[in-house]
Amino acid sequence: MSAKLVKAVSISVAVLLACALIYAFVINRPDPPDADPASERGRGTKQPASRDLLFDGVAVEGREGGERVWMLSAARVETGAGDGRAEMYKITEGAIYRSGEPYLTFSAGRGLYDSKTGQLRLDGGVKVTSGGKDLLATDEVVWDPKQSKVLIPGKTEISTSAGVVTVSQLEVDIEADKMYTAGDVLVSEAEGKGSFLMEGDDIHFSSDGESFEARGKTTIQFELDDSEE
Amino acid sequence: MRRVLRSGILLFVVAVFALSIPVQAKPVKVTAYQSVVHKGAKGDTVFEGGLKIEYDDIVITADRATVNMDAGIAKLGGKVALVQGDVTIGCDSMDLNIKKKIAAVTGSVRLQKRETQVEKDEAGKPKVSVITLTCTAMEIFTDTQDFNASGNVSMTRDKQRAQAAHASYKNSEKMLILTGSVFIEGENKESIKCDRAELHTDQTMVAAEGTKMEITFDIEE
Repeated sequence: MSAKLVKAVSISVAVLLACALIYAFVINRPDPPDADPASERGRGTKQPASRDLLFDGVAVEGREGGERVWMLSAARVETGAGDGRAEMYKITEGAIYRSGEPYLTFSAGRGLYDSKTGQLRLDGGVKVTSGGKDLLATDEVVWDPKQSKVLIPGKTEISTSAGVVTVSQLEVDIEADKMYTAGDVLVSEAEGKGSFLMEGDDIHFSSDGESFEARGKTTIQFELDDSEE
Repeated sequence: MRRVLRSGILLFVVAVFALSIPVQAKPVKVTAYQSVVHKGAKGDTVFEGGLKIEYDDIVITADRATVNMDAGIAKLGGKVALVQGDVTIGCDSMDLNIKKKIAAVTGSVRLQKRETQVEKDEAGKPKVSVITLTCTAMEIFTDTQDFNASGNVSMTRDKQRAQAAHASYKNSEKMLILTGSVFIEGENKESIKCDRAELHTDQTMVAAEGTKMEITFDIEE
């Protein structure tokens, strides 16, 4: 075998190897591994990314007007891109505050905080509890401290002691302690009781989801067991 | 022994068949026009500012109501009206039991019923009369359209009118039974006073009875 051929083959192999390495580690770089809380904790305390966002290990706190409005524990926090946003993953313990006290607690797959708007957007299987009891489960929640409102744009299931209320959209007014909805509302009552479907433009529930008030034209449809006479 | 066994099997089959029949569900629709308040703990839903309840062939309207959807009962107030086929009932208040198919109404009760008469008109078509009955209280059975009326019962049909303390109507027989101080006046001002009278709503036929009866009529001279 000629020396020239060996050299050409060696160079080709080296180039191919280099290309493979560039593809593997630069172009197709794998996502950071799902954070392990234990290992993440070892990274230590980060410095505050903005005036209103404080980091303490993996606990993140949002402030509005100097007052705590939300707080959460996440497995991983990403920030520092210069856009005033922070992404938090695997949120295990979160709380929305009212007058400095926890009002609602939550868990979510991901949280996105935008310091420009002050909004905290949660998604990825959001579960909200109130007073230690499950309150609602949904795909996406937006907490707007400036308006003191939690907005849920998609289908939501509200758990109450009387049953489950399914709504197509929901707005929780933290200050008024009420939940507002519109469109179709399905109330499935527990304990073998029936269910009813409600439709209206202005329906608001109490914070426990058990009582409601509706204004304007509202229709309620239910079925009665005709054999019970 | 074989007979007992056969009867046992038959009873078992009947029982299984009865259990397999699906439970009938009656759809009920309530439309509120102004406000609805539902107290979860109590289970009552309060409607204010007008509402409409629709089920079977019945439409009920009222100014306000308290409805228990689980029990299928409603207490309606204000200007209450029930329409079922040819029957219209107006009153001040109504206790409705949808499951038991009973409506108890009180206060300025006014029932109107369009009744096809046995008698035919000049064209040979059956006449249609409107029967109007007023009273203080009434119990209506919505599955049969039978009713019991009490308190200053007064009825008119064309030029005929009747008064009594109580009235009971059987729709299948088209018969109104009047009891207690009955007074009936006919088209030609003839009248009957009696204790009990059976009045057919689809024909001009009256059967009166009582210990003391008084019949008044004019004799043409």
